[in-house]
Amino acid sequence: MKKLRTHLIATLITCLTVTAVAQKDLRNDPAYLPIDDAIDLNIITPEVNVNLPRFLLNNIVSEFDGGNDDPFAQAGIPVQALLKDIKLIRVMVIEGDNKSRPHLDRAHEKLSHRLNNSWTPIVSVPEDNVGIYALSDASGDQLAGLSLLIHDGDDLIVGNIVGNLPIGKILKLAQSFAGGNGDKLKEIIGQFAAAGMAEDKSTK
Amino acid sequence: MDRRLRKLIRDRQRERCPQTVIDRVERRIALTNRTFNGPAILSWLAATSCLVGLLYVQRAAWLPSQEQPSEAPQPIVTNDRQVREVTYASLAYIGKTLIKAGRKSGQIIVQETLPPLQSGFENTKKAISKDL
Repeated sequence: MKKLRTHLIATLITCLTVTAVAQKDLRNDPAYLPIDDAIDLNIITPEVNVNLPRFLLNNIVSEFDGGNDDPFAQAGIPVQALLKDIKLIRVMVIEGDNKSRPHLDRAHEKLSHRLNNSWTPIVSVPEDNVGIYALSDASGDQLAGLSLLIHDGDDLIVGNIVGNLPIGKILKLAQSFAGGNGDKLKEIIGQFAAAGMAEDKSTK
Repeated sequence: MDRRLRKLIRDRQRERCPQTVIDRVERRIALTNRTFNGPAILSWLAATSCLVGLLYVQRAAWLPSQEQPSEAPQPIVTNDRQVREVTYASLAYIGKTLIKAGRKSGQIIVQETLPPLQSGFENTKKAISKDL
């Protein structure tokens, strides 16, 4: 009897460990949108490819200084409240052409199929091919993720936020943001790319 | 005792059971005496679960590179200020898109519903005036 109890406890601990390890994988999160599976980055080069997992977001929250060059402070948004429940921010902007159009169409179809089946569309503008989707957690009381999918002409824009995102604060943040069609986002990424290339040249 | 009878007895005493018969009997005994060894099975289950869990954790390292989920390369975001700027721009852009889409939906709703509402009011006004 004692041996049986020991074996049962060992089995239970093993199962719990395996489950805990499996849950840590972000790809298993229902709010995670497998953008990389839909868009082949070996064929398509995005203009903007933002991938901010939790450990990077934790860094900026812990190093938050609220100084003059802090865009969150300028917008009047406390960054800790904004980012504390977010696990991943993913944004991809692709400017397509005739060559990449079929790939983008396929990617859009794949992603919109997944979003329309499992997520709740909160705003859709079919004539502009714009869709914004939300996913609730298991309890149905809290937001678990937000996704954005736009396929306008040759361009494809995909956004995925995993975690509980305070939408009201995002809307407030948007009011202080100059760009509306991804140009500002491209400009900011472009600045860092240029700075990075300049740094590479100086160190060579 | 008869000589043939003695010989028969001696031959029977020397005779041994064929090995095939012994093997068959042993197998039948093993089948009938088989018991459910619960603790041993649970131990095997625990060990297998452990192995499966370890393999699952390690699978990403063993997958060929083209099958691994491609992490978006971010060599340019190397310090906290850059992360902050990119985070702000990404979230603000999503918010902006929400606002634009909402505004556009509102415009379409007004465009589509306003004319029928207006003509409905006019018709009701005329009907009321006629009755009066």
